[in-house]
Formats: sequence, structure tokens, C-alpha cells
Amino acid sequence: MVIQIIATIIILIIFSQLIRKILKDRASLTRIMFWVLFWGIALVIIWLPKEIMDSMGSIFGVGRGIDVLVYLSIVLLFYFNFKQVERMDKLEKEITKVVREIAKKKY
Amino acid sequence: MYNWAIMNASQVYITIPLYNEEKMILKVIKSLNDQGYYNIVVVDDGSKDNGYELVKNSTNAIIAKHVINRGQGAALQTAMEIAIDKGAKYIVHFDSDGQHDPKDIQPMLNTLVDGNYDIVLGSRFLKKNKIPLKKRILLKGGILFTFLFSHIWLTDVHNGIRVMTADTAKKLNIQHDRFEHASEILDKIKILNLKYTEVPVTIRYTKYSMSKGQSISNSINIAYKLISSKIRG
Repeated sequence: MVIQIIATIIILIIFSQLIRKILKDRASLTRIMFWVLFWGIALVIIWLPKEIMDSMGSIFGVGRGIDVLVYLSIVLLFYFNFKQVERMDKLEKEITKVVREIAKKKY
Repeated sequence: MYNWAIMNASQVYITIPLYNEEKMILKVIKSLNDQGYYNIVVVDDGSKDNGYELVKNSTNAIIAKHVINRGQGAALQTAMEIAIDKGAKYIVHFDSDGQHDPKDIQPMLNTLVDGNYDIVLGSRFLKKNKIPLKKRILLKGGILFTFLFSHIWLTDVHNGIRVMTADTAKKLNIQHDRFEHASEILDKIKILNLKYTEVPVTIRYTKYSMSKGQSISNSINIAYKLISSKIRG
């Protein structure tokens, strides 16, 4: 019960941050929608009765429903990390392009 | 004796990436001049020493500067683009740390032209070179990695001395900014189906050059970056 309350508070804080971003118009709508949906689903799952969670777990072939969540979050984390690396690579290439253009103008 | 390289040195551009090598760079440029090569493009890759000023004030080499350090691959690509802009027909990659022997350029150029090759790579293992054991093991590992990664079997990899046509340089278009560029070049030789060969070259291992060489952890890092970039396409 305690963990569910803590998780709910954290999710609510995240929601408030998302709302702040919407108000300040700092993020694209699709991204905000994705995160609202993501954390909304997480909130529902947290408060699902244990029996339903565990039957979900057995569908996926793991013991408990909470394990499905843990595995899913690992997959998601890998995916976001991959996206991040990709974005950084792109940035690095763009920096090099700028540095190169400056060098070529001045020799 | 017919010697293409000597007769056509004006068409040859030597490209040198420079990073914190103020102690060696003037000697390197002078040794190249002594062999008849005057088209030299140096790209200072955000060095923290006075290499840029030294080259600018005491040589006739073309010198450009990366305002921040972007890596050897990036500096080489900039140097090649400048050389091509200047009308180079043949491009030579040459290190700034004094490891390479300018006398090796001539046979490499002759091989390139006579054999109608796209690129000629220097190999330290085709000649009797005193190679420190640690370096030897690392390089042999690199040879195996290159074979598995790019399906190209060479006697030497990550050797900085290369000679190519301007057309090849345009096609290579180095994308890896850091040391991975050496493997990227080999990978592209295979992908672009370039005609290549290896020529024996001398590598001078000094205490100074060894202190600047690749470490094992660096090599692992290079392999990791290459594999991950290949997976990502």
C-alpha cells in the first residue's frame, strides 16, 4: 500500500510537470500526449487489484504481474537510451559540420 | 628510372591532422618538403599548444583550424575537402607525430598510378619494423576485427599512411570523427568495391610516439562505436 501511495505521488508530480510544459508551450503535443498516456496507464496499473496483475503475469509467462511491469520498463529504458544516443550522434555530426565550415572559410 | 611520384608531385596533396604536436609538426613538414612535397594541408584540430601558429608562421603549408577538437577523422575529412578544393589529384594521409617516413609516399604513389588502384594502404607488417609487443598484439586483434567486421583481410590496420585518388577521397567522405575513421575507411573500401593494395612502410616507434598511441581500452571503445553505428545503420 505504501509503495502504491509513493508511486502515485511521484506520478502526480510528473503530471504537474507535464501540465507546466503544456502551459509554457515548450514541448510538442504528440510527445506530451505520449507521456500523459504512459503515466496514466502506469497509474491505473499501480492500483489494479493484485489478482488481475498476477493473472496478467501468468499470461506473459512470468510469476507476478509486477514483473511484467519491470521487464517492460527495462525494454522502454533501452529504447529511450537508444534514441538518446542517436540524437547525440546527430548533434555531434552537426557540430563537426559547423566547425569544418568555419575552418574552411578561414584557411 | 621512370618515377611518376617525383614527376607529378604538384598534383599530390599531403593531408595532416594536427593535435598538440608542436614538437614534431615542423620537422614532419620539413621532411616532406625535402622529398619534394610542397602541397601540404594541415588541419589543427583545436590543439591547446602553439602548433597552428608555428605552421602558419614558419612554413608554406596550408593551415586550417578547427575551433574545437573534433577528432582525427574529422580533421582528416576537413583536410581532404580543402585539398580537393585546391585541385588535388592524389591525396596522402600522413600523421603529424613523426611516425611515418616521407620516403614511403613515393613507392605508394607509384603503386597507385601504375596499378590503377583507388587506394594504397601502408603496412608496417610487410617490412621489418620493430613493433613493441603490446602494439603488435593490439594490431593483430585489429586485423581480426576488421576481417569480421568488414570482411577485408589486411596485414595491417589503423596505419595512418594512405594514398588515394581525389575521386576515392570524395567517395570515402569520412563520417566517424574520432579514431573509428580508420576502420570506417576499410569498411568503405569493401562497400564501395574500391581497388586497393598494401605497400610496406616504416613506422618509427619512439617513446614519444608510444605515449600517444592507442590503448587497449581505446581499442575496445572503437570496436563498440563501430558495431553500434553499424547496427543503427
